[in-house]
Amino acid sequence: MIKLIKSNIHKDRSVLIAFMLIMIISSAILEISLFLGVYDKRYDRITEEMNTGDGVSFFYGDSDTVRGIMEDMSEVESFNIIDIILPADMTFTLNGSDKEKKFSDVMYFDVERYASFEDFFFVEKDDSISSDFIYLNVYTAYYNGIGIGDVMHLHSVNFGEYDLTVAGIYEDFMAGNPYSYLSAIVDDDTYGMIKNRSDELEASGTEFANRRFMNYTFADGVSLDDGVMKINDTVNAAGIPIDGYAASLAKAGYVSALHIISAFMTSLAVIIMVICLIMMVFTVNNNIDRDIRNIGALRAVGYTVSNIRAALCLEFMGLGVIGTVMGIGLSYALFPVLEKSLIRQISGMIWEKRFHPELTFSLVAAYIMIVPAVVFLATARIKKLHPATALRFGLASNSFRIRCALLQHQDRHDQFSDHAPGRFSGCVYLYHLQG
Amino acid sequence: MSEVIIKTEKLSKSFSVGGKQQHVIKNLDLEIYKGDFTVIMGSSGAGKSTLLYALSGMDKPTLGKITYAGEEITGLNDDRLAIFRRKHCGFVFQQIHLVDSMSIMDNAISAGMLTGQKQKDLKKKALGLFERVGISEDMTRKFPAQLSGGEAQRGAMVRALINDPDVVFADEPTGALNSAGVKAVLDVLTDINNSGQTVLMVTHDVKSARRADRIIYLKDGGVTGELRLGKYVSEDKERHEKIRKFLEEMGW
Repeated sequence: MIKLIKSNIHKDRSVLIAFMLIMIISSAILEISLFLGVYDKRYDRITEEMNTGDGVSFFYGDSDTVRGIMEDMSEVESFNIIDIILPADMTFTLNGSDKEKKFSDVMYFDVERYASFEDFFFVEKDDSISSDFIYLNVYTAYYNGIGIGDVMHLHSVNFGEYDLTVAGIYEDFMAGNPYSYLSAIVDDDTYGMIKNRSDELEASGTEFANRRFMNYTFADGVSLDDGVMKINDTVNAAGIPIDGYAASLAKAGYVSALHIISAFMTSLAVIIMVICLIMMVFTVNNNIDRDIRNIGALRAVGYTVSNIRAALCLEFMGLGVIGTVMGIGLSYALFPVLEKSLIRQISGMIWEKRFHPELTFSLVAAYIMIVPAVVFLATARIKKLHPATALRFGLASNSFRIRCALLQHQDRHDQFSDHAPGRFSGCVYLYHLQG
Repeated sequence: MSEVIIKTEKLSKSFSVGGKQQHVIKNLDLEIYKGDFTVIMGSSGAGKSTLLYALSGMDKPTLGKITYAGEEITGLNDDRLAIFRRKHCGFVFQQIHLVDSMSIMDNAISAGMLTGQKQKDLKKKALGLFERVGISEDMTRKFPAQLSGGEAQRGAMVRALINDPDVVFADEPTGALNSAGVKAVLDVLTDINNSGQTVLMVTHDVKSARRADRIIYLKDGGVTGELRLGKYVSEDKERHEKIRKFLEEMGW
């Protein structure tokens, strides 16, 4: 059978190469879409490990009042309040360039006070930079094309100018996506300077940039959305402006765009694969017609129907395996590039685990099962192909229809009535009825 | 009397064409003997190839029984018939029917591998057979399209012989060849028959029929005559005359 498979591949190589390319593309797209689906589970796993809480809020006002409200709320199990600064008009340039970019909606945290920052997953970090530094979240860094060692020149009419070296890039799972406020962590001295300026501006009534960042965990059974709403309503009612969102909404900011992209890519891959399978069915059928004499000859020398069908199925299964493996390999090669150039900007998360055996092997298994199953069904007509008939159909000049003897009109009591009953005795009775 | 290798009892084969039954072979009782070079002749449409295919298990009879070395094969299903053919039968066709995408060596080996023989042994055996039929080792790597008709047909014979079949079935093996090819193929068939191989050949060529030691004439689905000649000797001038007279009597 191996010889037969090799000969089939040799004969059909151009078509098979086309199928293989289609499978490579389809499996690469599908594997990438599966990678995008992994971000959802990763977000859940890490936020649980880091205990980021069930929600976050930002308020402007007395933290003691809010603390009292939170302690009185039975729905709240635990909470944490940190001072932050949210300058409205900050811009930056990078490494001395003239191109100025907006840097608003960034909350500045003090590295000394933001104790939980050590729980952050640092993607990159340079510990040798110990002063005048800034840590950026993944989204901010990659969206603006900022890397470790870059010098950011921060400029604000109200807050002054600061030259800070980027010393770390971290994942922030609550304030690090395109739809939320963004976090940035600065060294203690820099934070102090910005804080002093913010206090001065607040005292003069020019700008109110001082904020409190609060994250909290609800008691069991409390609905996240209801809990956040109650906190917002209660604190607002106390005269303190507050805005907050549940962890579920925070998560959506990280993964919803990826879900959309993943769904689109999955649909595209499936459509491509379905078209490929349809083309395979047509190709197999055409090949059976083309090779009908060969099939007859193979049956004549002793190949069973199963042998011939198995050869075809194995040929396409091999194609499926090779195409899928190459496609998956391509996805593993492309995804890191795609992830760094695009996904991090969209999601604010990184692709942590590099190899996903459950995704890879299940995709290979799916292609291994589907492709030969489709080919097996397409070869069903070989079962009805009698070797003698197959050989005759391939020989137009020896077509039985042209050369067969015409039916002779015979007496009812012909020699056939003397036949011993056999498997096809029904034919004898039918003949008599026709006579 | 030689041992009977194939026997038919009231063998009939009909085809349904356009809703009508067409009876090609009718009530045929026939015996093929081991070691014989048997030729089946008849006019076009007499049922020669149909009979050959039925005897070799390529086609199932409509009625009747075929026994092969004492065992009935008529009741076997398609797959069991395929297994039967690979073990006991070798085929040589008019249109050669080598798989065109395999070299003639691979055509022979792939047939041999069906019986579980190892590739290494098969290659050695095939080379021996190719040498016997006059095909060099270099030529065995060629594809059928790269060979002349006679060379390809001899390659097909190697495929037919690779599993040491009990019977070689040849359906007009010289029909598509030139005179040089015809002689080469017939020489091979005669040679293997002289070594003890049973050959059953269908032909409408009198020159080819000369190689037979038994000619069966088929007409209207039945055997109307039989001629026993004895083993072929090339200088036998009376042989041709005997055959000519026989065919004349048969209405050829």
